[in-house]
Amino acid sequence: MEDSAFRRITRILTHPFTRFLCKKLVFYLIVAFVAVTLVFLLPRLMPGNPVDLMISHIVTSPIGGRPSGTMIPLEQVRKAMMAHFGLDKPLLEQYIKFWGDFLRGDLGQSFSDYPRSVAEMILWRLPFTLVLVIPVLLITFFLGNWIGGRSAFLKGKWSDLAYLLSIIFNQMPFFWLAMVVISLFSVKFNIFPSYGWISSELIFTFNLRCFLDVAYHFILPFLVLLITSIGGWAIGMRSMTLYEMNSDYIFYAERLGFRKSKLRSYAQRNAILPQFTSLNLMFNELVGMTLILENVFGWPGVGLLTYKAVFSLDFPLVIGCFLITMIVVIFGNLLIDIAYGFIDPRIRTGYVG
Amino acid sequence: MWGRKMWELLLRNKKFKISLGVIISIVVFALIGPMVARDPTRRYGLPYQPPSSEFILGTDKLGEDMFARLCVGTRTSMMLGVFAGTISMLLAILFGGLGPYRGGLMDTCCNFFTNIMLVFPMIPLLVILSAWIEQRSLLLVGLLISVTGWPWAARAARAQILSLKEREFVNLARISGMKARTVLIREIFPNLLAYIATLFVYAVGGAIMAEAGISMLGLGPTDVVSLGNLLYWALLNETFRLVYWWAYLPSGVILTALMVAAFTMHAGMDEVFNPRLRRM
Repeated sequence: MEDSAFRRITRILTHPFTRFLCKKLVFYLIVAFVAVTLVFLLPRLMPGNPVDLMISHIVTSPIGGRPSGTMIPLEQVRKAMMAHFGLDKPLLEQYIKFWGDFLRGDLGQSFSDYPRSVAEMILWRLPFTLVLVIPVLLITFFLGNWIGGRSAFLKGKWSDLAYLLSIIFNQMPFFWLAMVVISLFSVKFNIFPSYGWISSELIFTFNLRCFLDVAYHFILPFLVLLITSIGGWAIGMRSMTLYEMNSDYIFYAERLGFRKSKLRSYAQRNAILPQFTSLNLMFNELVGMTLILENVFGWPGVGLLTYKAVFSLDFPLVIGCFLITMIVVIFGNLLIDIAYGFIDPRIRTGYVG
Repeated sequence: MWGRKMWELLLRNKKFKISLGVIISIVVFALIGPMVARDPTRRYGLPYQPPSSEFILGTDKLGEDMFARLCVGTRTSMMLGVFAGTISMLLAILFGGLGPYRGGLMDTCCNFFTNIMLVFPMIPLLVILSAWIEQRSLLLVGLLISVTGWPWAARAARAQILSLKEREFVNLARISGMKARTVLIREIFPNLLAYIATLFVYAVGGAIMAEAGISMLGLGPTDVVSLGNLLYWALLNETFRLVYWWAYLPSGVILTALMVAAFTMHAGMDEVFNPRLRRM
């Protein structure tokens, strides 16, 4: 009895899928390590440390100037700020503390919205970004590949047209399309709201009316992201299908007298596998795209927060936003890789190539 | 000899021919335009004048000539694209080529580094890099874009080199007693060059787009007029909510035309150079 349980555990542990999983886990841990180290080192390697930059902004800004009654010497302010952020300690000590804080989920406090915790501010914004990225990724994957697989069998003029349209919508700058769409649908026809996430007369509570209102604001940014990322899948799937249709096994099956629809389904099934590996890159790209798109539409995701943090010189918030973005990216990539492991028969059945 | 034949092959490709035409006309526009147009940073007239015979594309909020700004902006964006595209291709050849050339541990390290960099999303990385630097020259932004933009090209170059190493003609050259270096220079490199040119066209397009993207956030090069910069001011002044179409449509159209042409050219070159895709 005990022997069989032990054998089952060893079988799971030695299964190629487990090895595949461990490999991926180690890889993404290293990516996380690099991201945290990069974010730690960047401000410390830049000419002039952030405290000097902040002081120069406080001194030169017209509204934030020092109160005239209490003249504290700048050097003293600088020293106090350096001590507050722990910048006066040795680099290694700072680095270890940085990791400790990060692992406890403490990303510091915001400057511009002092003393709110950065982690809390970002976590509240995260759903807004994810609700854009994840549906767009899934829908464009299915729809784009479907269109691409179909357009591979178009002939002559229609084939050229489908190809050209996919390229134009894929290569068009999405932030510009956002501006065009706003000027058309919000200004000219006045159908959709152009900015923000909820109408100004509403206060958000969990009821249907608010939910519908948010969904109404969601449509334009969602459509822009969808339209500009669908073409990439279609182009890739089209060329992969064409490539597979030119391969020997298809010619062989053709000679054997297989039906055309059967041939197509075989070619498409083989063409789709490389498309799965593009999911990772597309996911990373979409996360980057939302950073700009949220800014155009005033959609309150992590991207808009990053933008505001950069321009209010809220350094803990900038760093926090980047770290959370990286965590999202790493988790997303890991999930996609695991899904790929299930789909690819070579990994699933343990074929070692 | 080899170059001329390849050129003839390329010109026979429809995609390459059309996109080359589009790119050349935009280049001519960007080179000649600034010579005949007015000073892009001087205020000439009233704000937001619609296009007229005096101002072909109207004026912006400050009364600057939009046509002049468009010419100079296109030139800036293309210069940056070529510069950043070149640097990122050099980085890609370094990290993608060194591995297969040296093999062993070097290959593992280069490949691992490339894969790590691939996970980093480009725009957030650019934003956090730009955020720490207050004054950003065009050169600096170009460097930042190339530092974040090389990994995909490195992976593609590595895959191509690895597959070239196993091709029949390379094996044949090796069996016939050619030295390893001669094989590299005479057999592998010419084939690789075509592939690198293909990647380069795509990288230039990507760099132009990346500049426009971070400029849209106000983190692009400071004190320079570029296509992204034009769109940034159009966004900031909310011209698209005020139906001042001449302030944001032309720059976007040129950007789209450039990107579509770069992609189509890349696809056309791929069809010619990549024997698997060559039409029979």
